[in-house]
Amino acid sequence: MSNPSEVRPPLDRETPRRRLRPLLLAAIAALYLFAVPWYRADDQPLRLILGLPDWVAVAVLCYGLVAILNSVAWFQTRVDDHAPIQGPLGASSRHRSADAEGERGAS
Amino acid sequence: MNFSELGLLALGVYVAILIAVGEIANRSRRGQSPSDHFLGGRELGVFVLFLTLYATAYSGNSLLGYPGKAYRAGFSFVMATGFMMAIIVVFHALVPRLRPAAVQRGYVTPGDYIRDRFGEDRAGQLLRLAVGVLMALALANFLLAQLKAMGEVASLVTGDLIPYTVGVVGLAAMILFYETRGGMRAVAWTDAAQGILMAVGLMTLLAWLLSGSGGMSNVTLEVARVRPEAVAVPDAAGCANWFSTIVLLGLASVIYPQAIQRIYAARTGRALSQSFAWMAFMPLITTLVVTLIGIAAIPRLDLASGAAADGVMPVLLREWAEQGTLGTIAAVVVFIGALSAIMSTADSCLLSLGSLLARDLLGQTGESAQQARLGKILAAVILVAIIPLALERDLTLWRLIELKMELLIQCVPAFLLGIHWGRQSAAATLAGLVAGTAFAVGLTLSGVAQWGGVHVGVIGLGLNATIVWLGSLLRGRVSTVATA
Repeated sequence: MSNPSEVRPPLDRETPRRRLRPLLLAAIAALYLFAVPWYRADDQPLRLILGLPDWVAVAVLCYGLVAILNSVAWFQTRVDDHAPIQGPLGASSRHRSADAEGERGAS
Repeated sequence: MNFSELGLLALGVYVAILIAVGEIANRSRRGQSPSDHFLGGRELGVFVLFLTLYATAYSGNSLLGYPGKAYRAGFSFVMATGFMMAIIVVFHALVPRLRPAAVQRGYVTPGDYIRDRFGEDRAGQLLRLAVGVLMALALANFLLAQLKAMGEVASLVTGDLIPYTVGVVGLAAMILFYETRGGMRAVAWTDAAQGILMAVGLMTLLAWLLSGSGGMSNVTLEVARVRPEAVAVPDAAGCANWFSTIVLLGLASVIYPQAIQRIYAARTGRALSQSFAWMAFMPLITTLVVTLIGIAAIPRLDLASGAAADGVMPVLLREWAEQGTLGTIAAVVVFIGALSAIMSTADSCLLSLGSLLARDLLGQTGESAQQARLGKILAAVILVAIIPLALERDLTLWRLIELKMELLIQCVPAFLLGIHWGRQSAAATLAGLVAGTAFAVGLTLSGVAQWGGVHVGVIGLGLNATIVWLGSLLRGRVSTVATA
């Protein structure tokens, strides 16, 4: 007899992933906003961080974080080739099936 | 052996390897169907898929155009790292829905998705045709940029023993040969080797540049001394341009036909998501590196600001080659790495162009060998037609990239919106695409490339998406009233 805790429905395992992915994407969007120095005055003296002008170092740091979060987001993304097709493409298939049924019925 | 002779020898060895790969890939074929030729039988695993995505994304534009642009613009071109990363972010909106449909319904080209999503009525057919035309133009432009870059590199690596014209024609013929023989398999396998060569070459070049200049801090201070505006914080228009470029390239690059076809060509969805997970880091070790190379060249070189600045990388490599035997060998390796990156993008463009013309524009469907043959012939015809344009050397590579993206971005609503929003109609999508394209092309032709730093293509996309949204809502309301 199988232990119910061992055979968890796939949805249970997917739920944390589904919650994490939008959070990661929101954090990436915020980093993109912060990477551009729109909040900086353009007449400030040159200051170096890691050999780069400070505003460039901030941009590089933001993009480094984007790379990490995006990579985690992709590892969390499950692309199932045989899952039911979602969205309008799935609807178009249902329309086609309905049309085919209709044609068979008519003939 | 001097630099030119070593370069000629390395080029000969490289070309021989390409011919061999083309032949091996040809013998590995499972058939002559379009999906076997154009998608490698949908068998690309994580390793090859990742490297082919990498080598295709980073091209002659990245290796010659981006250092040239960084040399002209200075540190603000760090935006390039952001837009190359944005591509992998935007794929989140497309891949999870497109991939299962592509596998289950056997898509080969982007037009197969359009046909499936928007139907085969008159508006749907016109939309597929319009998207196909824009994509074919963008691909042809991309191919043109690669041919120009190939000619430049071949001429430089051999010290003009192979002149620019011979380089363009000869290497184009080489790509046509192995792509025709081996299809996507040959392209992906050569891409894998080319990707490794490119990454290693670029890292080595940056290390040499920084060590020779006394480190990054010295480079920055020298740049600030000779060209203060290159280290200055961008003004409001500069920041607007930064955002606009990320939107333009991040969105439009996702719609590259060759990128979409790699989504179809993956062995499994898992292989695809893992490849993207690794791809997320590549802008840091490629785009950022070429940007820094262009910036490090500012105090070293005095190049004219136009197309001549695209020669930053080759000029630096020539300098490196003059530092002794080790420098000569290293410079030749980077040159061949650059050439292979360029050719890997050109071959992908050519393969996609053939499939796009055969299926999306000429309306071929199914899996006949005749269709794959037609694609090969059409690709050859286009290549021959583009070569004379490539012999014109005055247009900068960066401007070619922008022109291509301003066209391609108008296809975004059909893919990124259409795959999520069920009410989006074919007629409204077509109307938006035509209006957005007319707006962007009209302003570009009248000499207006940007408004307040924002690309006209991005503004055109705003117009395009508004028409799609309003048109689809209105059409839905009209249908509801008619039904009632």
